[in-house]
Parts: sequence; C-alpha cells; structure tokens
Amino acid sequence: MSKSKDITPQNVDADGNLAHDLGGFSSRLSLFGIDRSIKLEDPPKKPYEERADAIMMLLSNPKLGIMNIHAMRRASEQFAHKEYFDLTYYDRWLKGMASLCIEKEIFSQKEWDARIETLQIEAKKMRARVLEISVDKDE
Amino acid sequence: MTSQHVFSVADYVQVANYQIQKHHRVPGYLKGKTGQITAILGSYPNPEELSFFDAKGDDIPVYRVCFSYSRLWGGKGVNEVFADLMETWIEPIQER
Repeated sequence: MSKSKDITPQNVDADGNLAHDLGGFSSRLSLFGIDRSIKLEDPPKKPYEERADAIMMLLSNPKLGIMNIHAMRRASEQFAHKEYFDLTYYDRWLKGMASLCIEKEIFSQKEWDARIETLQIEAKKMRARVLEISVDKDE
Repeated sequence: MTSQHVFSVADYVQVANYQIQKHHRVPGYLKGKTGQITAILGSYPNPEELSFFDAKGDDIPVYRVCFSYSRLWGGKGVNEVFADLMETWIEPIQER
C-alpha cells in the first residue's frame, strides 16, 4: 500500500465514488453482482473471523495509537472496486488492519509479504501431509 | 453551542459536490443535492481528520438534513431521507 494519504484515482468509479459508497443506486449493486435482498439471520463467525475481531480490539487500544474506528473505516474503504467486492467483511478488516500497521511502521510491506509467503508454504506442506494421512488410511 | 453554527433549522442548503478521493463522510448520492435542515446536533471532532489518527480532529457542527426522496431518485414518492452531515460538507443556496 502507498503511504500517501490520498487514495489513488483508479479506486474511484466513473461517478467519483469509492467502492464502499453503494447507497442510492441499484445499478451499482447489480454492476458488481451484489445481492439486494437483506438476510436477517446472523451467520456464525468462523474461527479466523473471531481472531480478526480480537486483533482489532487489541490494536484499538488508545494507548497504542495504532488504530481507531475512523482509521479502520478509511483503511477498509480504500480498496479498488474489484478487490473490495472480492473480499469478505472480515477480510476487509484484516487487509485494512495490515495496511494501517504498515502505515504506522509496526511492520514493513516487505515483512508482511515475506510472512504471507512463509505461511503459504506451511499451508501447502500441511495440505500434502493431510493428503498423505488420508491415503494411508485408505490402504 | 448554537452560535458556532453557520446554518439554522429550516435553512435550505446544498451538499458540496467535491470529487474528493480520500476518506470522507458523505454518501455519494447526496453530493450536490438540496435539502432542509431539521435539527442542529451539536459539534463533534471531525472523523475525516481522526481517520489519519495523528490529527486531533477539529470540532465541526453537525446538522440533520432532510431530502425529498423524489428529488434524489425521481418518481412521485413523498418519502424523505434524513442524513446527519458535517458543516464542512454543507453550502448555502439562494433558490430552492
């Protein structure tokens, strides 16, 4: 993410609106394939979503000065339209929190990218191991 | 408190139509639209500034502004839309 405070122009649509600013125009909802119906049931949070919530609470400690609700909104509204709609609610939180940590120099973009790469390799190994175990069971 | 406010209840106002590309707190569908102030809600630290959390955030008067549904989206509906808007986004108008 750029350290610039201004959002890059490609994040703005033809009407000059950012991705989160959907109100008032059903054409904008259909353009991005958004379901207009309102689901009243509360889906259960996935474990990683609970953790995202917990991380948010910890980082929001005013003594730390890393994050506040307004910064969080700014961070989770900054994505390009395609990216914004591809991410789930908590994914936007997580990406937003990561970009704020980078902005506040808690860790660097480079460190963040390296950590993701490490975790992806670990996940790949874990998947291979699970596959191995299930093959063993079949035999 | 009221004396700090530029506008009064019943004033007709226009929402600024800035094509601002950083974090801001006014819905796109209200930009450039005309409404009427129905309440003065006090002054609050500007969340647009607070979102860059190094800033303290100036106290900005906030108004409740009433918009006609049909003026926003056309049709013959009589419904109204209320929005709480910061003074920084509100401009005076001459004609209704």
